[in-house]
Amino acid sequence: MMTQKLLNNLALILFAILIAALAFNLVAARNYKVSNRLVLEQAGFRAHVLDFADMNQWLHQEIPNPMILVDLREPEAFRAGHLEGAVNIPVDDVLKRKHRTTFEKKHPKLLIAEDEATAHAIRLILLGKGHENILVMAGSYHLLEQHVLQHFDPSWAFFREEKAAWDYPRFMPNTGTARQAKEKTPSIIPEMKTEVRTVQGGC
Amino acid sequence: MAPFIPQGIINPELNLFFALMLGIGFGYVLEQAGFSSSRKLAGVFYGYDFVVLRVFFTAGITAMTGLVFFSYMGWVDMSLVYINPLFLWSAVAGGVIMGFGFILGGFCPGTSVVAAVIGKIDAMVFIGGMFIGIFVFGHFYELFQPLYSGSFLGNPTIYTTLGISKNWFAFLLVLMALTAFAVTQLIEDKVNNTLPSEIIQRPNYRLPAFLILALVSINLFLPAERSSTIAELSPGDLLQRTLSDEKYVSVQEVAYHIMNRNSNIVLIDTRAPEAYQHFSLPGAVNIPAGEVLQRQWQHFLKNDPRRKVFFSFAETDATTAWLATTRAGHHNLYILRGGLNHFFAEIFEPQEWSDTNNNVRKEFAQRFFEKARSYFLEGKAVTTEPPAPIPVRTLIEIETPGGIGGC
Repeated sequence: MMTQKLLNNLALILFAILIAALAFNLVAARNYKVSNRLVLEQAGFRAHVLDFADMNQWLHQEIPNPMILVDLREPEAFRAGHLEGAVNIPVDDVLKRKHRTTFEKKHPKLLIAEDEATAHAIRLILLGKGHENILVMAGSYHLLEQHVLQHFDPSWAFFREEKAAWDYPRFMPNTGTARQAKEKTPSIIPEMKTEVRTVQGGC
Repeated sequence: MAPFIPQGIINPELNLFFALMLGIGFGYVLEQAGFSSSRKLAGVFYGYDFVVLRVFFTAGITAMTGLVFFSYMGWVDMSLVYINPLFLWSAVAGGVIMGFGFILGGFCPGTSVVAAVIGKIDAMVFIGGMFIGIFVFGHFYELFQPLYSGSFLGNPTIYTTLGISKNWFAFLLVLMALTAFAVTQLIEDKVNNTLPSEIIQRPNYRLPAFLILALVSINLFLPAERSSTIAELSPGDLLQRTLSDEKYVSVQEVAYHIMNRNSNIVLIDTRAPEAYQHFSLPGAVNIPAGEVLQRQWQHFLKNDPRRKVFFSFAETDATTAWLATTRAGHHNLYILRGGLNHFFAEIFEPQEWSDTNNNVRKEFAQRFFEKARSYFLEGKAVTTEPPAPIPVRTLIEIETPGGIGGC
């Protein structure tokens, strides 16, 4: 009888520990709906960026495709000028409950910010929160105004901030390829020593 | 000692020490459970004692349930768990020889060692036979080689082969084990003609069986991939850090680091490998933005005490890498303000400095940029002498497939 009691108590304790750990793990987890890995996978897919050619086409459509324009700039900048129909949600407020319905709508949501990188960052945070169909405008509202709204400048049609602006090797002539440079100097990250651990089973 | 060694909690050098400790513990438990008796072990084939089946099946489902929950809670990285490679015909032949040897000798390799240690002569003879077998196999390896390494089918798991989810497989296996325990107990009682009074006095295992079934049933309702973990930064904090200027490192600071090579900074190029090979800042390492969460970089991103500065052409890719790693809970991460484009614009586009206000600070800044400009244009950015040696740290990457397991 003693053994029986010990066995049952031990089983109950282990069960309780595991359930408590699981409950704590679930309760203390951060409030994301999409994992970091899946969000990062979506970041690499460039189809979510609308450049100025796309914007020009969209603005001149007779019946524009439905799209929610979300202007992420400060209210003062928004008041000074914005696209027709745009909603102003300053970057600080994107996670506020009152704006959740805007991001939950089915139509594509286009983020317009002071710069492309901020819009991308906000998109990734919103994707992590489980919102879908979020697009980013290339450049900034200021550049859109200059090169599309005032007069469409085709040389800016495919502008994106994340493009090379310089012929870099001309200015740092001897750097050559990064690979060559890396071969000459010891790597700043310690070399990974790969050791294959084989597991011998036993019985 | 996973997860303690791969997570860096325990020094890998102590591996063998823990192997010895665990080995002694394992041997002790085997002996105490009566596994040094060949009669007990062979009982499973004759139906009078199924303790071997019960012990190993219990160990299997307990370890499986633990692993399922630990991996869900992020304590164990399942990609590091070793999966035996499947060489079909050598597995079949090995299984037949093992089974034949088991029933003939009454031991399996582990239990034979346990029995030999307590002085059983039959076990010593068994071990001697085992070594003769090893010698014959080694000596005529070329003869056995086609069978040994042929019909390689990768590292399959049963649940992927069956096309069911891992959670359902765990549930079905536990159900199967519990059924096997009940059925083998009935067979055992019948073969041994156990009296009903003895059966009543035996401890019953209904509560532990119910609890483990409850655990794998709960596991059925848990999603396959966690959307968030405790270690991550909350969305609110992540937004705050994203909007803060503290995440930036200035052009001046990076230029100073390159020119002096004594700064506490690691430059991380987040562009594609092709762009990195064409050109990168001196000393930068390449981790494309989409790969920052890969396991190989986690040790460096988590433990390197230096300031890690992401950069790309502008800020988009660098921000993506920064955001993913910051959300993952890493610290000491920064972005080069404006990226390479801004870096070059600052250094190589002549600045207009006003001479009228006689601002000494501006003169200093101007002098710094002039110095940087000539430094980079004259090609001094590439090291001609190796920098001071960095203390070498041994990182061990545990690769999952590739070995030969089995008993």
